[in-house]
Amino acid sequence: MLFNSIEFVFFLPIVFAIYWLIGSSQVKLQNLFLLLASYLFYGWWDYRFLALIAFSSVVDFVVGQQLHKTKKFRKGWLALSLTVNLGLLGFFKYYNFFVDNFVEAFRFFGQAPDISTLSIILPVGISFYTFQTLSYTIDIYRKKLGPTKNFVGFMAYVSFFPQLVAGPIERATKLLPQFFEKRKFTYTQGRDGMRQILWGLFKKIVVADTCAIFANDIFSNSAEYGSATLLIGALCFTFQIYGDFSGYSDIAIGTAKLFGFNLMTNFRYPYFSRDIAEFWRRWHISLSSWFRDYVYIPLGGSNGTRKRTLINIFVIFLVSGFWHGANWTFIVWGGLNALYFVPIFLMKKNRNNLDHVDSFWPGWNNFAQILFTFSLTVLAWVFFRAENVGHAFDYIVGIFSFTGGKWHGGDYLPLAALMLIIEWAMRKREFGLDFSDQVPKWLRWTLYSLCIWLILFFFGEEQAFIYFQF
Amino acid sequence: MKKFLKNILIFCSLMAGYLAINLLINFHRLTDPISLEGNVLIVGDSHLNTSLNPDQFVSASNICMGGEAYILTFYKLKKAIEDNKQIDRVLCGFSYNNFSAYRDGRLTGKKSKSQFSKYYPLLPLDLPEKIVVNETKFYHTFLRELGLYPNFSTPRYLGGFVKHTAELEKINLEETIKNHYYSNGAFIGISPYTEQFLDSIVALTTENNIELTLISSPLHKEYRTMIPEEIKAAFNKTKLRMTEQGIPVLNFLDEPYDDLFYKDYDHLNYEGAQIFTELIKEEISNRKMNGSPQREDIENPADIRQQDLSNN
Repeated sequence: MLFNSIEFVFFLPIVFAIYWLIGSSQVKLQNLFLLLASYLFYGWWDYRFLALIAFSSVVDFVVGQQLHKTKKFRKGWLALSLTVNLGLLGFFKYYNFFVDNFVEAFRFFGQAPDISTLSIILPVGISFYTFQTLSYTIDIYRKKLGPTKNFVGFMAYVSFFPQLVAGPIERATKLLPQFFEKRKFTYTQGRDGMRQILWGLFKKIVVADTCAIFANDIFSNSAEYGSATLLIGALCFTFQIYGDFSGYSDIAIGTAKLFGFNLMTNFRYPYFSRDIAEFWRRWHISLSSWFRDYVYIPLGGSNGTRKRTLINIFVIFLVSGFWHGANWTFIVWGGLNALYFVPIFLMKKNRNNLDHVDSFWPGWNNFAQILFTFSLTVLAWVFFRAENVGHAFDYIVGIFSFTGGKWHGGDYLPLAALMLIIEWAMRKREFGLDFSDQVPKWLRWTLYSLCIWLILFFFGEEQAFIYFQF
Repeated sequence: MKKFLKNILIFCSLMAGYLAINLLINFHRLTDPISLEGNVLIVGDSHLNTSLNPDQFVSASNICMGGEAYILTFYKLKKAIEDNKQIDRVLCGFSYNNFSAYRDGRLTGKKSKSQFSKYYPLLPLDLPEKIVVNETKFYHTFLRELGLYPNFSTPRYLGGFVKHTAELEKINLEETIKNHYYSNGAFIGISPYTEQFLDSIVALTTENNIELTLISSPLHKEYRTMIPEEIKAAFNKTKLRMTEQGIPVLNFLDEPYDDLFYKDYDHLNYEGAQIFTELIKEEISNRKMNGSPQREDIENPADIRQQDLSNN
């Protein structure tokens, strides 16, 4: 089920009503109901893959128990969890990629091995819930967390529908305890949840889906367009992916708030970053911090030699790219971001910009830095969106060939500009419509109405969320 | 919880009130009559939209629209007949690409939004039960056009004669053929709705005692030779069936018009339209006077059968 679908418009209020009718005192019953609702939410797309989530949950639940009980085979149990989870992820997501590249490599040396690819459907959200369950077993292994004995609560944690298919990737240490606490509905949390859902829908439907029309057209027919249009296509995709993914995160976090849960912030206005290090502290925070805690730091982080640290940086960016999909484009995208990052790291300036600019007017220096970082990001997104690496290079060469041509595809960029203006004004708050109580009610309601009007106006372009495929 | 639900309820009521007021203001768009001149009505897609000039008739209206499928022509004709009782003759476009499934793609694919935006005042709300359309875009069009703002603009479904003065540029023939008959390199197929809604048009005109004539305007020779055989066969089969039902088919598809009279490979320009309109007027007037077909090569079912056999 998509957040931006008619089905969800009915699903959410029904689940909300039943959940709170069960009552805060019946935590176990609420968890069971959330589990059923989450499985219905996921099964709406393809019920066959529910077995996969259930299997993954059972394995990690058992592994969690065993890790706590035993002292001798702890590594073995952890290895089992890693093998099962990463094995499933690897099979469904990367099998064909490895087979294709294996065959290509052999062809290069004049051999032609007879290995065929399989017609595999990628289960929606597998990369997200796999990482979420892994955080549970790894944290128990590291003795940062005790195992839960409540099987239903654990299953509900793995499959919690607001963030099941596209994150934020929650840590067991933060989210799991919330399943065992009494959850209370407060007016403030409910109001903020609704506002955040509205802002997420605005970003998804008004910005991402409209920009997608031209991004898809321009990237599909890039050979036919001149520099100006290619640049617009890259900008359209830049706003599409931000509106799409951060919009999803906002809807997820807002929905969770309606049920009394707090999810982690996943985006903090990344396009206002003044350097790439800051960008990566603000973009897909739940994934970046997951890789930092479970890959970068175990590899030694920045505590080793400079050479070792640089290797670790490249590893984390390349793995992060590969996590997004089984295509060399994502790996190159990751590598390019590493190249952007390394000079800042070597100059020890990677922690220069920890907070947003204070004043409303950023000043020329900050503005130039923001614009430069944004431009680098736009170029990197070309690799992310292109069909293959060759296509991405051709696209970038096309942009810098200055062939002119017609300006085509910029029709919806003003909507993206509107989003940026609102987010710039609200950058100290959690999300775009996170008004303080000092803003008069009539003004707040007028802005909500305007958002809803725009959502209804542009609603017909319903498209799946990009990150579902990851 | 009470305060939360109360605020949600008040906010939703205000939004619903706003939508309701717009619906009341815009409701006339679904019922407003359309007023057309003359007793002759020209309907169809871009072929008659560029080739039959109503000003050359004694009293006629051309309401053709580019890319219009018979489904849309049917609902437009229905509305025109209901509101204009003086209509006693309908000239309807009839060509090869009416049979191509690419026309249906305009109701299901990317272009469906613009199609529904033009035609929604004519279309029944249960259309998705009758044919395959993009349902989200279909219903969303009604919401947007009727509910979101007071809509005082004139209906955009009427169309009309388009005067093209340009002459044929011999470029993009393959691209044109590809767009009309192919999708991803493969033949796009025959529309399942063309025959169904052509029959509906026939039934509608018969019920209202209106004489229906199907008209095939000329196509450039280079274009004709590239049309898939499946399309030609479907066209000829329907042409035969129509003729057997007594519906005149004035077929000028193969008429050897000079390049000077074409706007592109499948449309006449203004010069071509002047000549073609006179030809059609003459054909109709001869039919009236003689009460029998003048172009026997086209209207004799036996000849069409012969033509079919030779085509196949």
